[in-house]
Amino acid sequence: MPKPKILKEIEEVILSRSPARVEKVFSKVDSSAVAPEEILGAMTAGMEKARKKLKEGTCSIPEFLLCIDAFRQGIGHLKDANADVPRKEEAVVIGVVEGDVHDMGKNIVAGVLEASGYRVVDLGKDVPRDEFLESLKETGASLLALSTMMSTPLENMRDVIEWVRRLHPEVKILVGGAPLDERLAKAIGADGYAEGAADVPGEAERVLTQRARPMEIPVVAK
Amino acid sequence: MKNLVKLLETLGEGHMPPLGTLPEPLLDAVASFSCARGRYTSLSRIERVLTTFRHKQPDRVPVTPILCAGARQIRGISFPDYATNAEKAADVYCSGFEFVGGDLLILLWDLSVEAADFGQKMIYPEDSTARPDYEDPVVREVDDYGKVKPIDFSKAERMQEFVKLCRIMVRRLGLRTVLGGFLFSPLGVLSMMRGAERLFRDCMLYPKEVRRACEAITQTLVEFALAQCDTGVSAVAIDSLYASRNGLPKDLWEEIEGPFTREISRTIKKEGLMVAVHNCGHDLYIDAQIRSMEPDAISFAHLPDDCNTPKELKQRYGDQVTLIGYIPTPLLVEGSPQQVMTACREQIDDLARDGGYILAPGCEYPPNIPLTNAFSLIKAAEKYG
Repeated sequence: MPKPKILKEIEEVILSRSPARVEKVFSKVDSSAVAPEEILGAMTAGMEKARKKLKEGTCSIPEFLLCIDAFRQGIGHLKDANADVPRKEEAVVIGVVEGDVHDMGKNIVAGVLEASGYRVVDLGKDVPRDEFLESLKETGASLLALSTMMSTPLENMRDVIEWVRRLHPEVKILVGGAPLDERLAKAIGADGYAEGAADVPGEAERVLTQRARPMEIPVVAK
Repeated sequence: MKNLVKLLETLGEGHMPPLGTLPEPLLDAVASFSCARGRYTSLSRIERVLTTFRHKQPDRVPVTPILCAGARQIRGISFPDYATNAEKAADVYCSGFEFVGGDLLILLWDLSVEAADFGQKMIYPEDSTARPDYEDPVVREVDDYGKVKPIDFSKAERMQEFVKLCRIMVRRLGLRTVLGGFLFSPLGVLSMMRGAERLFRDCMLYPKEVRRACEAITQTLVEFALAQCDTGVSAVAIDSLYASRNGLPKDLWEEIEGPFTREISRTIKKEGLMVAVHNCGHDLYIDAQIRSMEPDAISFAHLPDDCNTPKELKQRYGDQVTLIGYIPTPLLVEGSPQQVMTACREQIDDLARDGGYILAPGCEYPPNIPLTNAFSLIKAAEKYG
């Protein structure tokens, strides 16, 4: 059965870079005629196209930011219509480590993870270690994504990872940011590393389907 | 004759003359002589750097560890003192030069020097680089771009203090090494006053407003550049980070910031100084930056968008600009000295042929890590260069 025209429009408008056009398209959506899962599916397809273009280099970061905005506008419309927005089971806690306030990269990754269906708990920037630990405890998240754009907070990142290993050994840890590469990510104890936002969904999937790691740091009795 | 008198005067003042005021054939002759001399004996730092800038092979590859704030560890000077006090900053740079070494010194405080003087509230952490307080940006709304005006440079505290740093360094090291000043590009300054994420959206949705603010900022940056030129430094570096995949699409960068970086570059060149570009972004638009600024050198951390290998970079651009770089930050943080030296050797093999290359980190040396790998860079240049 051919896709309703509106779904095609939704998919395309995610890449339009025009907030006004996005608003126009979503205001036309008749929630009684098209199921929320289909709308979300079209939005996700649009974001997936944008993510591929980002990876290829044919979509720039400013353009991608507008795609994320468009996706979030769509989520806003679905929530306004009291539609159930289906999410994956896995929750992700994300934040910029203490000592760093550069959050654009983290914001883009959060947007990509949301668009990939994860429930994202965004702790913001300059996040102390204990806030990460508390959030993991409260949310039961299976993935922790840490970001920094500077070399000076790397020790803080290492510290968070060490404590997460002690207290939440089941949680997988993904890191990213300018001073990092795959090798350094491994050296500081992360399970995965994403060079750019476009690589995040694949890397998140990879680390979450890894077999449980053997304990390397003894659990500290609380 | 007038030029010769001027040359002797500046040497008498204890610093290099602006090389752009000397005839090109003379500079080439001196470089050729140094190149020949370098086969048999060690060159001075200045000879080595100038020979490489003239795209001739010196005695060995010049090296700069771009220590900056990293050198404050040597004398225990705090980050806030380093970032706000020219004398203390000069002590940091000089101790880095004496303790670690290097053939040229790039004077770089942080990326918020200019924005602070445009009224951006600053935070000076004890153990990290000075930064804007993004909770209190100068540009809160799109309408605020129109309120950005050129400032009275005589009252620009941080920029004036940085100029003072340049003067002190020229006085202390003017004839011992090549010194370079630094400034952030107009869009970079604006990102410190608006936040990069909001600025990027604005570049897409409100490019005219952004451009107008860049124009106002450029007027002040031209004064800042002129003041640095007047101190006796040999070059000024322009950080144009957003001319890369970390920033704007190439055509938009050329439209919004290109003309302003051109104006700043021309100002510097008119004073006879060299222009360097620093861009530690991924896939930097080296072609667009060459078109806009015609730099003498480019300091980079990643390959440009149109080159897949360092050999290709050297082939395509090696005769147009001196390449400065590009040992990766993560390697300096976590790599062993041997691993760092191996990476240096590989880059020297790919980029150093026929001069036009200076070994360096891709960006400022990470300021809170031990200086071990700074020594590794120096050692690698001596051993493999």
